[in-house]
Amino acid sequence: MASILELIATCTERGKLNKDAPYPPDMRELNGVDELVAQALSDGIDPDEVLNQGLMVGMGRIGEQFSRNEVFVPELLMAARAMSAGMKHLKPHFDSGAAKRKGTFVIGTVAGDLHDIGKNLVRMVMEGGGWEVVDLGVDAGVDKFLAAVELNPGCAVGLSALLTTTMGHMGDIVQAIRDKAPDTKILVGGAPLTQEFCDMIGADSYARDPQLALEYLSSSFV
Amino acid sequence: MQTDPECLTIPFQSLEITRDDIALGMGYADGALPMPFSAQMDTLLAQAERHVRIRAGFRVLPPSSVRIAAAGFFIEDTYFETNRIIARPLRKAETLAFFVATAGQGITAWSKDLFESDDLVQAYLVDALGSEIAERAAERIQKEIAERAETEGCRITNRYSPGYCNWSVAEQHKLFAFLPDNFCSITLTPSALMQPTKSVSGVIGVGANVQKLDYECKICLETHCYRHNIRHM
Ligand code: B1M
Repeated sequence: MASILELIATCTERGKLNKDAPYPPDMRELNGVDELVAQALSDGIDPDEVLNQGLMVGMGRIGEQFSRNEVFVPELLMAARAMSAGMKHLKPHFDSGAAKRKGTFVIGTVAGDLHDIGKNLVRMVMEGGGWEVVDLGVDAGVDKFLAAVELNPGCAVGLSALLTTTMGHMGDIVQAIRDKAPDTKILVGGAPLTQEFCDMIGADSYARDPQLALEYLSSSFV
Repeated sequence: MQTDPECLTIPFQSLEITRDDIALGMGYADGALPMPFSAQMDTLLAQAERHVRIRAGFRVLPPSSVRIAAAGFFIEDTYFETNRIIARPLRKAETLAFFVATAGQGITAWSKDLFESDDLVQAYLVDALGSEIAERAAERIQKEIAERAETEGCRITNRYSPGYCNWSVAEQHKLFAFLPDNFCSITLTPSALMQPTKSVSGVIGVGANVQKLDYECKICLETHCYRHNIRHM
């Protein structure tokens, strides 16, 4: 029989929120992430294990499938919802220090740009990967990013843009962050971006999709 | 052929959008949305009419103001640097039509409301529907221009948009300068973002000897885009 952590991983990957949820159709009537995480914690399983070996494993699997174009945004969103249901049970453990987040990730869509779906997906995948996320929303300029970096020492920063005109603002934001907190890891993403552009503006990494963003940050903050 | 700017209102139903069309835009290569998203999409399609205000308009420029160059074109003294990929099919055009099309602000507000009530998937499905509407409205206006051109013995090229094929998206400012303010209720932010979000702009060549070549996705150089892969299949 699969361990409860494996069940949590599977339910997260498949987006099975709770027992009443009709999605996915082939898992009707079965317990979902909500019930399983509650049970795991009441069985005395360490909250860090629930996060690392349950929820994160599931989000990692769906993120990889998304990267390979085997599933698309709707499936990723269902997984992210299921994961949040599990995170709700873990929150008191994070607050008390019994479970640890990987770090803090500040993300925003840069000034002049109002697109938020891509940025929201990155946010959800990062949360699923165990990061505390500070979301600056859309149309975020230098001042907003600097204030967030100041408030969250040691954070990583993600900048998103969907048009070439607005990705131009990324360079200014990267520079301002470098001046204030030179060691901050800065990640950029969005449809018109490339690795060359990332190198040109002095960001640390370009991520084509949310999973690559998570993998990069996870490997940089071990 | 020359026209004053004209904006049409397009009924949602007349666009005949199916859930499979939207699925293609979301990346599902076989055009099939799995359950339960397909059922959700059907429900949303049935509700869409009251959230959209689809408008599309165009202006055919005076032929005397148009000059096509090797890597762009002039309208009066304004040079549009499209690059060669787009300038080539426009080469034989006698004049150009600028067009815009929009699904309206309501669809984005609908998607936002769903997102805020934590209905992430439906919010995304509505967003994808909005994208499809904008594209289809552009297709409709292209057809309208083609029909008008035909009455004068002219044909049209395909449609090309700033931001594609290395034509700078910032050149939308030049394009909008040749259209009335707030044309079809679309405005442009300083960063060349159209408001409402679900809007499209572009140019179409008109002339007796132009040819309708591939849709812009087929000639686009953006190989990472899933649309590129779909349109090249
Ligand atoms: C911090 O770390 C990270 C890491 C990863 C990060 C990240 C941050 N942020 C994002 N990511 C990544 O993760 C997410 C999940 O995988 C992804 O986020 P996205 O936000 O990219 O993805 C969304 C979840 C889904 N993706 C989308 O919704 C966008 C898909 C594509 C095909 C697209 C669509 C659908 C549309 N468009 Co248009 N559109 C394109 C897009 C090409 C593409 N393949 O991306 C793009 C963005 N559009 C473009 C253009 C030019 C335009 N569009 C326009 C219009 C439209 C539609 C209305 C038809 C429609 C909706 C647009 C909308 N914004 O809602 C126009 C602008 C509209 C406006 N309001 O101003 C117009 C300007 C064309 C015109 N002149 O009419 C191009 C921009 C390039 C540029 N030169 O700026 C474009 C890349 C297409 C292309 N191949 O060239 C990744 O980018």
